[in-house]
Amino acid sequence: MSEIKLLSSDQATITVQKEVAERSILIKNMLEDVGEVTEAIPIPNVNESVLKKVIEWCEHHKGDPPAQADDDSDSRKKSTDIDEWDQKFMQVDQEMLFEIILAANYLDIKPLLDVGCKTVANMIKGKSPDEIRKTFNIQNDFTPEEEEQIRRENEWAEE
Amino acid sequence: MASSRATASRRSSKDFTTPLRRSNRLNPRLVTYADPPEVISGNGSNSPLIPTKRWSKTDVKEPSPKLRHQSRPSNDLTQKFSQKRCRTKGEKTPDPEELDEELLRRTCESLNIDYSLFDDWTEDPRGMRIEDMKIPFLPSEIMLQIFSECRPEVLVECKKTCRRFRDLLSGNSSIWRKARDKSYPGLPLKLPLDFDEEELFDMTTGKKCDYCDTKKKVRPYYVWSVRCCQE
Repeated sequence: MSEIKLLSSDQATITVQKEVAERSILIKNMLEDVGEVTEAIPIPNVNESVLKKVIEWCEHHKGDPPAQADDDSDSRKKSTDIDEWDQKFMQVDQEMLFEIILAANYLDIKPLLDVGCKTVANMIKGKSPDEIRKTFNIQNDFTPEEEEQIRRENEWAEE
Repeated sequence: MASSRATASRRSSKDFTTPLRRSNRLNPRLVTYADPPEVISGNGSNSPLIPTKRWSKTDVKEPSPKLRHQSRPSNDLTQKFSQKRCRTKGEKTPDPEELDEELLRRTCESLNIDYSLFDDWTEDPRGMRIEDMKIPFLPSEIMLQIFSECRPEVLVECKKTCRRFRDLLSGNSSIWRKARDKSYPGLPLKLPLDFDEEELFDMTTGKKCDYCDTKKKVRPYYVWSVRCCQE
């Protein structure tokens, strides 16, 4: 099994199996275009700790069947369940979670991006707007008039 | 546009004294304001260390650069990134470019100045602002993907949290459709008549009668796009 090297944004070189790295569509396409590479592939948007985490995920999921392009009907059923290993994997602090999501987006690892988004969706679930703001450090940037409007609509919906 | 016209035509046959449906009453497109990321970073108060401050309209318009530096919190993250990259900008220190970081920090401490006041870096190596790395600043396409994993009742709550979420969610039928799929799978994907997905959720889950204020025996009548009591 051939190996390739990846160079993180903070100049760390990480060696991975080609098969593992190819979970990333970005890297896969790059390798297909370039052919054999001996030097490290720069991943300028991802730092070492995040890249290691992403690779950990790719290693665990390297045997997964490739995602079907038209799994729309399937995704309708799945909703927000995440497999157990992924759930554990995603038990990281918020910064790391968002970094993983951004990295998955950049590296084009759709299943990882999905898991990340589902994790965040689960964090939002069942919370009041105030709790959502607290959890994610969101500013309440509504004007008092808009607040009032929302409050009125609340009455409408909830009473 | 099409949906608002449709709403109007639906209503035209009815009494206009009846209350408007929700989505008609709150139209975010009528509100203009500065770019949200700019606004938040201009204050920096979304750090957990600083008590959150509500935004007033004046804040939104002109986040002055001076204010930005003064209010930048020096939290752990700030420290972490300032170690990586720190460009100095000093008014009080004669030639900050030549000072090493440690010295600058000690100077700041002795003068009782916020250390972070001096660093002009606003970006981490990937070109994102530190403040951007909170959930409100995940790129919109990722936010939308997260929303598409939520149920409609969750989206309703999200809409009430901040302007950006509200704007992302209003008028975005596909998100509401996916959300509906999650909560009520098996419903037809195509909507009957000219309902907006959001309106539909509203109608299905609302409690009040559109005509009188009663909450008893109210049910939606999709054909007439109203929900009302049996009287």
